[in-house]
Amino acid sequence: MSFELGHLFFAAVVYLLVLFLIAYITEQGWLPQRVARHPVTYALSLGVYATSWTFYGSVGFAQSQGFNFLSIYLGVTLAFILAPVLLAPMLRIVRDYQLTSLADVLSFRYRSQAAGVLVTLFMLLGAFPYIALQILAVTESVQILTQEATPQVLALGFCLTLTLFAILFGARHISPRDKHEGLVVAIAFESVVKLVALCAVGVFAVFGVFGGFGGMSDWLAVNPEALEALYRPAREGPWTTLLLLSFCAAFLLPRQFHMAFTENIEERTLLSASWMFPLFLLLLNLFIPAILWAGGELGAGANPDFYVLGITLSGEHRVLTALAFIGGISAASAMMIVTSLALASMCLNHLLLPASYPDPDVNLYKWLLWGRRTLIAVVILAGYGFYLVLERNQGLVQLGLISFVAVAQFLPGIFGLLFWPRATRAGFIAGLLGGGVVWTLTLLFPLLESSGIGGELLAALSMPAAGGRDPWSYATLSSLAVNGGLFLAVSLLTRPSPEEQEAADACSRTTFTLPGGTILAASSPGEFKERLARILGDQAASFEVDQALEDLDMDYEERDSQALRQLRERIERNLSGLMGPMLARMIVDERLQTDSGARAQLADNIRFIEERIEHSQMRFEGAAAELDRLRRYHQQTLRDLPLGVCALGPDRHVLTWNLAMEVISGVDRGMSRGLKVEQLPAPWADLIGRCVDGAERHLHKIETSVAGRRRWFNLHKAAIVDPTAPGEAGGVVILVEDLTDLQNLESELAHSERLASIGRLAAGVAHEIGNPVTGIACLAQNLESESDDGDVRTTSRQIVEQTKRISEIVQTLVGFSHGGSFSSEPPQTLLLAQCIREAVDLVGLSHGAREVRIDVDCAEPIALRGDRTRLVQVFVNLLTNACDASHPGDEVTVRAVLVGDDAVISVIDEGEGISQDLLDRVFEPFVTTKGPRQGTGLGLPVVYRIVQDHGGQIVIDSEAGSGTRVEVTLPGAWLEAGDDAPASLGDPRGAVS
Amino acid sequence: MAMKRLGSTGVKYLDLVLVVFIVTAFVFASPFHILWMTDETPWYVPYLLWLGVIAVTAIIQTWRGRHEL
Repeated sequence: MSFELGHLFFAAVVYLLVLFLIAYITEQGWLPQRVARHPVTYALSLGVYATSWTFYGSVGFAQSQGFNFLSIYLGVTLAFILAPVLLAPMLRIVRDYQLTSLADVLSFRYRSQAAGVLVTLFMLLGAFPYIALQILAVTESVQILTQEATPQVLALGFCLTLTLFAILFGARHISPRDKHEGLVVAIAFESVVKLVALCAVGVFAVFGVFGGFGGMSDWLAVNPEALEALYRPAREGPWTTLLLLSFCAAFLLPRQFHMAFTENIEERTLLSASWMFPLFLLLLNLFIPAILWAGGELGAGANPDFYVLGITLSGEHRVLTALAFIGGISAASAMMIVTSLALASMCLNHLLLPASYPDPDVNLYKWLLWGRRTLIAVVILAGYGFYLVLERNQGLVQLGLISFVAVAQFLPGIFGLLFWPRATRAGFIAGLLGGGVVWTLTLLFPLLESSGIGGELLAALSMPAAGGRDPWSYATLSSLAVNGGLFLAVSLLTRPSPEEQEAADACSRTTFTLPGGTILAASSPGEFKERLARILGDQAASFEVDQALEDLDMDYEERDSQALRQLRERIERNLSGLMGPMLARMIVDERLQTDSGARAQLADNIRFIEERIEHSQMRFEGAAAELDRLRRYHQQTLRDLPLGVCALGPDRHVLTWNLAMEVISGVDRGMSRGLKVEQLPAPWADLIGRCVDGAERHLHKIETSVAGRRRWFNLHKAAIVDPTAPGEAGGVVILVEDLTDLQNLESELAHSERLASIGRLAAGVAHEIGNPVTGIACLAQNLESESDDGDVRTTSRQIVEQTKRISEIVQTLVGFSHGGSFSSEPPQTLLLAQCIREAVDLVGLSHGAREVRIDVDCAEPIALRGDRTRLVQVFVNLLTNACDASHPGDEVTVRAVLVGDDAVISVIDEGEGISQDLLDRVFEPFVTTKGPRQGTGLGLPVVYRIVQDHGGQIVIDSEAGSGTRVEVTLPGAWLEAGDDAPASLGDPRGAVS
Repeated sequence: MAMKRLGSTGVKYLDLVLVVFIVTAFVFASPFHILWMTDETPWYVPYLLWLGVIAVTAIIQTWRGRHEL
């Protein structure tokens, strides 16, 4: 059975188009995000680790090295078990500092452009054999399927197609900083295809060749040497070395780093992948022994590397063969696409940009985009060049392992990144150079020499393992020994520079360097743009500053030095994602210089320190843990203090704003912290500013208006001495004491005193005026009865009326002075409807009420116990207010209902309403909405007291201009039956007009 | 108290991760691996050991996820 070359090429292109479609659908948001960002998708995307080497080469590796092939995946499992300790911290560094590749990470940690260049070059050297491996696997597989020699142009066509797709996947957009969710989903899909294809071939091997697992066991019983051939090489061979190499490759290979860190969106997915990804690898390798044995049994070709295809060909299953071929294409294309993207990013940041930075007049983003695209093509074509010069008889595993040993050389650098802040730039470079030289001499030169390249010179320089030594252990251990030894020795012999120390602290997170100094060059975001434009160009500078402002939720008019320092740091991080950490730092350092000599005071950095400690992943131990507990305790004490606390730095920035301060001021802690005193909302800017600037340490009973209400405060201030810099001003702490409640109590007391005086006065007046008035009334009545003159009788009657009026006024005054409890009547059972009716009748007599319609709705015979006279007074007062507020022709509604045991009486008018500020005070005496001489302001206070005396409540709901609703709730009510029912009163629904 | 509980959970979690790593390294990466790599060992034994490690890691991660939430 054989396939047409054209058909195979067509199938491969269609498959790649499907991949692109998946990526496109994802990027357009048509695929739900919960799928695109699911931990399973992320874990599958890490399956880019499994390349043609796994898909085809594992069987060949198992043939020659037995179970050693499993070590390539068990090492990855070990690395992913350590995800919380090893990978998660790296992910945080990558995300925090917007790093995109291992070269970025190591150049950031060691603050060295040379380190970045070296890592990039070494990565390239290590990756070329691996890319060549993929091309080799694809061409060989095509050759097996077509049973013809593969034309060279096919390999080139494959490379060019992949270049196009790599650009489409990872370099389509103008902003290279964005995550490529489409790429992640596409690579995850590729992993599924690989898994399905390899499992399908494996199932065919077990059931199609051996007739099931039983048959395979029988076959093994007959051929015990097959099992021995698996175990013996693992016992004797480079098992441990391969575990170490794959442990490193799991996260240091460019493609692994790219998918695990650069494209990661959520940390939890990395932790989930710590078991999902090894499970994927296990399933992928489950059938490798079965395929190996089936290939041997069927005689599926001379090269065990391609038994995966060979056994399907012998079975005449065209679909299965095609699936296996697509699986191989999938494995190769995923590796080449992701590797080229990762290497292009590295080359751009560490080779191209430092060597030829574009002119500011050029659009930087376009330049970067096209630079990235060109580099993708260059990387893939360089891999193709390596493929051309290689001897074709190189095993797939040999090529892959060379790359593994290469990336293992970064292990000491990673150790310095995560665990050893003392490691220095010189140590890292020396180690990498030493290890690189050993790698070149022991692996690269022998590989080239065996392919007939380099002639005598390479032969002389090559140092292959000799004397039967295992070449992989020899190369790995010797290169790592030289690398690690130099790394340790040179690091200990040299001292880290301050900037290296700063980066080391930032990476290890055991300590942190405090940011210091003010930005000398620019004092506003606008000036940031101007200064950056001279290097980045107008468009890029404007975009980057705007982006950083948006990230920090900062205003364009920001002038504060601390905020600008944060902005500078943010811009550096964002630029780092665009062009690498070294170049970003150089640009920011050059265009936005800081006054490094200026010493940052402790108070200045309090917020920075607190944020770092709160977000730090470090676990304090021993004395540090105790100190941290003490810090938290003090912080909590300050926060829960029942006095408002506001601490200011030397530059008048708010550093502390506790809970009581939030309550007093209504200003949120997060909003106030970091603001300058002058930027605080009114009246706090003025109040605190006055306290800070004033000579007095205490301000007593300061009256101010907060949210439209009068408030009184005491303010006390004290200077804070910075313990690290005695003698220098460390800021000010201000205690704010809210006296408003106390002041209100005092006012009420004074008011009560005043009322009591009025009461006493009224009692006296009543006593003194009462007798003469009674005398006048008697005399007038006598005069009326004794006189026959009509005018005299009329005048006498009027005098009597007027004396009654005087008595009423005096009684009202006395009644109020007794708190509305003037009536001495005992509580009696009364019908609410009758009280309301009486009140309506009384109010209806007044002049104003005559023009207002009063609608009474009290159908239920509600009864309760209370003081009838006083309750009538309540309704009279409420109805009088309602009528006074209404316009002629308006309607006032009185409604009474029974709710449970409560009688609820509502008085609703359509009048002027009451404004919100007045509404809060209407129950205070002498507060009125009426004009002068029209109301005393005693009506509602009297109502309030009477309702309170009856155990009830009164609520007023009103808005200026839209009427008022007063609701009185009186407890202990019931429905009366029988003759007392309001029905006996006639129609309970009545109207007075 | 909340801080303390969270802290102790974190430490336990990392301890468990390290214990699993050390046991796995002992089984697979130490010279003792030859003890189970005999010619009589069934072919699927390495896979079963591997699956065991994956299962324990999955249990730890699930436990952590539950305690974090």
